[in-house]
Amino acid sequence: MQAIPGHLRLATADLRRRPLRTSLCVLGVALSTTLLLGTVCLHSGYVHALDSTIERMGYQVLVTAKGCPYEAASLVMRGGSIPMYIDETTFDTILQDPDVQEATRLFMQGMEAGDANRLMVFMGVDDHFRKLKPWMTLQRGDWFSAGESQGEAILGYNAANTLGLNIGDHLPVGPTHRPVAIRGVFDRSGTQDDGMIFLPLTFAQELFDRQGKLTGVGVRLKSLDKVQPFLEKIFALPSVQAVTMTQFRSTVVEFVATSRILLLLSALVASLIGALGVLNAMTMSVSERLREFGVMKAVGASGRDLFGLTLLETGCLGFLGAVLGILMTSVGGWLFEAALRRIVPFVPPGRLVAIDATSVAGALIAALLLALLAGVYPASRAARVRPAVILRQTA
Amino acid sequence: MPPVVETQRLTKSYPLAAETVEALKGISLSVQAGEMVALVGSSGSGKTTLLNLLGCLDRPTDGVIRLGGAEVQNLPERELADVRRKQIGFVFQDSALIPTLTVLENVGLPLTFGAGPLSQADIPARMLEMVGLPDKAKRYPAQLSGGERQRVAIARALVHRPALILADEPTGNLDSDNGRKIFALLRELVAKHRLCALVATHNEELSGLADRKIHLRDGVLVNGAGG
Repeated sequence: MQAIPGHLRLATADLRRRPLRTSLCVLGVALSTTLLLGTVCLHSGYVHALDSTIERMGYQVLVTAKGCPYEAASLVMRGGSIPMYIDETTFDTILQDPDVQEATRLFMQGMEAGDANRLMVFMGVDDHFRKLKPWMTLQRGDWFSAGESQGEAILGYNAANTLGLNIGDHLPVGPTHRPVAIRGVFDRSGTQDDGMIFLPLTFAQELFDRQGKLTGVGVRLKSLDKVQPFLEKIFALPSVQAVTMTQFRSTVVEFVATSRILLLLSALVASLIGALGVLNAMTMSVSERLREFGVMKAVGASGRDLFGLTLLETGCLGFLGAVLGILMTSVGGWLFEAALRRIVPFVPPGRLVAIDATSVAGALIAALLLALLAGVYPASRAARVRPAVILRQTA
Repeated sequence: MPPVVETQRLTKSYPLAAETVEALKGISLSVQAGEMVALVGSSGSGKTTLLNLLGCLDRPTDGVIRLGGAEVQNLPERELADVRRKQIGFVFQDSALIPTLTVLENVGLPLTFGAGPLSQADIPARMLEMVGLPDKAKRYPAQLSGGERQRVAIARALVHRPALILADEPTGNLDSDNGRKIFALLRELVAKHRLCALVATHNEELSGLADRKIHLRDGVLVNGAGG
């Protein structure tokens, strides 16, 4: 046992004396830290996940039917039914453009799985798809056997696991529940493609009775300098429009940034409330211990000693709150992501609340600074104790 | 050898409502090393005020205080704290132990604030042994009797080997038997370590155990100034 109590021992001894008050105070700091850290990490995680998804799309421009291009882009990225179609001849026009390096026809349809409220997303693709996404390699099985009209399917990595299907198994697809044979399973790509069921394009069009129609065309240009002239050419075509992935990214990031400002404001208010909690708890604590501070002065403590001791106590509250807040962000981040995926129309795959060392250090320092700032008044009150007056009043 | 503590024409007045109360009126006294002095007087006679001034917890309105020959009444607050931590040990009526610290930690508390060398961490335990409580080191103040708490307070007052012990009614909360024991313990330690002690008490019987009595009445020294 330590015979001479250190300053940390003195500071924490009082925190243990009032466990409920200390816990509530720490919880207040933890909640504000959670909100602050969560907001910062959500933004960076979301943007990172979005960038990663866009990069793995394989094309820079998406051509769709006239309507809201951003809605179409988000539907393509997350998977779902696009209710508007373009003629397949548009694809031939695009492919002949000298600025186009590669393009792929996209035909996407979603329908509820028969056994649950789960959405099965079908993507009709052709050989161009593999050229645009060379990283989409087959984990097992083969590419479609003969052209684009056969009743075959290749499953994304997650779809294969979810459906529990393997090569040679049959899966009923489309409104008529036509059985198709599983031809292959893709490797994990870390994108929405992992959850899709790929069908030969022509077969998919027939299945959903949309022969000669596409939901979009993904275009990779020879150079990014060609984007603007290409867009102008597309806008000259009837009934189609184009959106670049860069435009889509900017729009989403702008939206996220606006939400982030609101969240940051909430986090700042929460931090202020947390700091007021520390101020209140420490002011009460110092008021209750004026006699103890008087005694400490009598046995040799200077005003500076008591100031430092009280500030150390608030620092401990800030530190404990920050550590708890960081833990809460780590655990709560998963729950928050799950909720977000249910509510928000487009959420990229991957971790959205990406906690990194810099953000953790920042949250720790912010919580400590706030707690210390809140501790200045009670600390100066403790330092100003006049032992003769206090000991006489409380004798 | 200068007296351990010496005062000249010490005066202390307090503002009280519209009036000014003179708690001490020109007190001059001196106490030598190895001397235990009982400060006797009724409630309100100025005993505690005098102890607070001698202990550098308060400043006089007028007059001189010398500790070990050096004047202290005009020292800045930081130096007064230094004087307190190096030269003075306090024993309060209610022992004034810190409830969240163990008995041993309470005894070692002055050393936390630099009153003595941290390297001698065994001193608090030796002090507890000296006051007869070696087996209570890990207890908390609430687990001790009143007499035991006062022994711990005495050990704390002595842990940094001060020259001057100031005890304000140290037996005031104890029964007569325990009061006698505490007073006798203080007497024994003062003699053994050649300390100088001023013990405020209104118990005439106990004051008889001191080397000398100083009587205070209405802030005035009636007799026993010494020197």
